Amino acid sequence: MKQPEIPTHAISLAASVMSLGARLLLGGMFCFAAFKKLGDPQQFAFAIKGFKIIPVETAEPLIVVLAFVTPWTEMIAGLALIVGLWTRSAALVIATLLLAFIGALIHVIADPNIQASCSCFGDLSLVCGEEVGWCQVIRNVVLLGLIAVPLLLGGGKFSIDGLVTAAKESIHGPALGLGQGADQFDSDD
Amino acid sequence: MITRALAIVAVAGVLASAHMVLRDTPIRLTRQAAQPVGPGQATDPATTDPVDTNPVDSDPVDTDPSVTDPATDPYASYAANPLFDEPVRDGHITMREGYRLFEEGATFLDARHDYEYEAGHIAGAIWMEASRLSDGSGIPDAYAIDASMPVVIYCVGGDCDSSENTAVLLEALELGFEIYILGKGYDDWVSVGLPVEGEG
Repeated sequence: MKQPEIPTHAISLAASVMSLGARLLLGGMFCFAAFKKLGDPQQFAFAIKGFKIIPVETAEPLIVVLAFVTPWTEMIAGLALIVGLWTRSAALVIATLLLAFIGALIHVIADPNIQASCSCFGDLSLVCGEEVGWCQVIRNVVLLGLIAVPLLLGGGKFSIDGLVTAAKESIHGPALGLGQGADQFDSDD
Repeated sequence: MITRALAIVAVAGVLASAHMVLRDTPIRLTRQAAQPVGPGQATDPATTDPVDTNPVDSDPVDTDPSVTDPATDPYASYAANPLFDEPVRDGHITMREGYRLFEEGATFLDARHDYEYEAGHIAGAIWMEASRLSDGSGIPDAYAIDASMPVVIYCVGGDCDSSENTAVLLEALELGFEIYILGKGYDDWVSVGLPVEGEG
């Protein structure tokens, strides 16, 4: 018996909705985390120091720079993800940050002499407690799974990328490829 | 895609640079002032008199726990617990030194989280987590501390940085505090049987 065919536009719509959900959730979460950290960079610098990956004696300026650059990167990538501008690139940045955070958390967990606070969301504890533990690692792995959605599917129809692509298609004709054109704008490079 | 990812990081770098330049107070991670050290931890090997290295501790009897005579030791009951005289890392004071400062009326600051402080803290200690100084909410409390008396900061002990962080920001206020960091943590203080207060 022949299976009924699912229309291509329905797949594209479902992918767009999935991407929108993941974008709003992750983008909002990263913007919030950045906002909390930027409100008190001194505390975030202490948190980086507390992870004992960068030696404060020799590389204090690096810790200070990271205390500003990391939350601003979260903020810009989070905003780009929310509005769907350069979606896949923003998702790549956030995935890289998450991998770095996971590595740093495992470093702290592996060394029983290090007692560090996460400071992942400033002074707030989201889902997990303040002290670094496996909970934060699992949370970040889940977020890493979620970020794969916009990373692989692009922004979809409900994004600036999608709108730009649609506008291009209306001028030059439909784009070819797996992304149904919706993420073509972010794949130019 | 990678080019645009790098562009996002570059924009963040520009904003971060502007933020750093426009921020009023510099980020501090280490203590600037010379740190008072505990007896027996003098950094200058030529220094033989512990009085010179630590203005708080003027009693040579207490400088070396191994020569403490239980018959004359006023803290003999506490000294039965090895934690009381257990050596601590450079720049920190032992539990014995901390307790003597406690008896002399030093101000104790609890650098742990608020919920830990509420669960129980050293008797009379003020909650002064570093974040209270960095966000400004604890600065009035810092100004209210008697600068003529030593200040002892403690956290959970071990390798916790909280005491050090509070000390860094307290020094930045330049209120002239003589700051000591307790090498052992609150749980050790409790297990020795020293005075505590709080819900727990």
